[in-house]
Amino acid sequence: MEATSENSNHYRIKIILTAFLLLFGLTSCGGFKAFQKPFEEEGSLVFGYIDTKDAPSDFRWITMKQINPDTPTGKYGFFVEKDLFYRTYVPNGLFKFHEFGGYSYRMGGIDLTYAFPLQGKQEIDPVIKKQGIHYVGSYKYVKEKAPLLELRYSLKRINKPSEIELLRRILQKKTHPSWKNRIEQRIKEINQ
Amino acid sequence: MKNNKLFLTGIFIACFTMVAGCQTTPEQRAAKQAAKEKARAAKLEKKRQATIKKLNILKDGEFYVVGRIEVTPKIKEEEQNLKTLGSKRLKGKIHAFFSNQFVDIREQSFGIIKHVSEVPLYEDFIIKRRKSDKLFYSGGSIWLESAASYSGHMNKQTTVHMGKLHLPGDLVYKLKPGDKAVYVGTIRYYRDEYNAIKKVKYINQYSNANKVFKKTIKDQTIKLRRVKPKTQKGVW
Repeated sequence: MEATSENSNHYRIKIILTAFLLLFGLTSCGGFKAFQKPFEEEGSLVFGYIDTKDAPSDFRWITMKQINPDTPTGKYGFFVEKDLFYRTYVPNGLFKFHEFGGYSYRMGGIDLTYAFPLQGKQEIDPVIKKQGIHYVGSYKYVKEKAPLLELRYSLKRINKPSEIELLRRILQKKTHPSWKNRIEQRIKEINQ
Repeated sequence: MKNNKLFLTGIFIACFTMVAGCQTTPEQRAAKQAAKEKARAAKLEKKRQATIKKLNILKDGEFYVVGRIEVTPKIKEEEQNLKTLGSKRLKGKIHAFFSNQFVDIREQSFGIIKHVSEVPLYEDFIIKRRKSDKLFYSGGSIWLESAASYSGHMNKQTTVHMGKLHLPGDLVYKLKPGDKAVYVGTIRYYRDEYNAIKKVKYINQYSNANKVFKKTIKDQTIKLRRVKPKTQKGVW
């Protein structure tokens, strides 16, 4: 009897572990890690910064759509760390930022989503013609006047943090040597 | 343990039998699909007939507006991500703002409803409006996104994502007191990859529109008159 009870516990732990792994797998960012493979294999790096101090929520996620070439699965998620967002594996083409969002403690614990304008090319939208490092800019969330029960905002371009500062933040991560070289090279280019 | 294994095997066989029993042959599936399509077509035809019947009743102080709105490159079906309840009917349609005054098409209020008509894109439309000395076209909006996503504890929070493509208007049509039907032309919008409207063109396709009008409206005494638009700044 004791052996059976131990076995059933064992099963229970296994089931919990599987459920946890499944959950982790489903919630992790697309199942890829940035800067782990050589630069040539990972496509372009796209990165930027949004200061959301004045926003009603924090900043946890951002998505971008590929509009040319038109692909059915052309949606790209980003890693977001302290208002810096970045991702690799971006192919050549025209892209448009779609939405970003975060969690709001102030508004009673809800998730908030902010949509980018649907029409027209915004300053933040990247055009990638050649594989490389693409900085889309640093922005600040600015609240706009809006009717009651409506939330309107705009993104104002800011100079700080600069591209170099953000690249230095990326360099602090565990990166493949080829990525490290490439990012350092880019910093040199900007400094010249 | 042995009993457990037997129990699990039993459940597996039961599930397999249920799934296998639910399987249908390709012929059955095709027949089912065809019946569905037929029912859908019949429903649409019934709706169309009801709309035509309603259109044919012209009250005092009303007149017909006939025209067409197009967007180039054509809006693909998959571009309209309409998944929320009741939003699918907006596929291939546009909210056109033909009214007796200019309105802000981006405004989201109940008051704006009376200025809107839901018309098909790329087809000649016939709508009824209240008589006035001028007809104003403020633009149009096409629903590109209406989808919900769920988040939070136990998916308690629902976020509805909505997005519209706004088309500019700024056209004025001068009417005559006796007008019962006016043709406002084909308004063709040219967009770029980012959905920004780069050019707007007015095209005269009166003869085609008149054919559609005569076919739809039974009262053959009503004459469709072509009216040239003007922008607020001058002649288009």
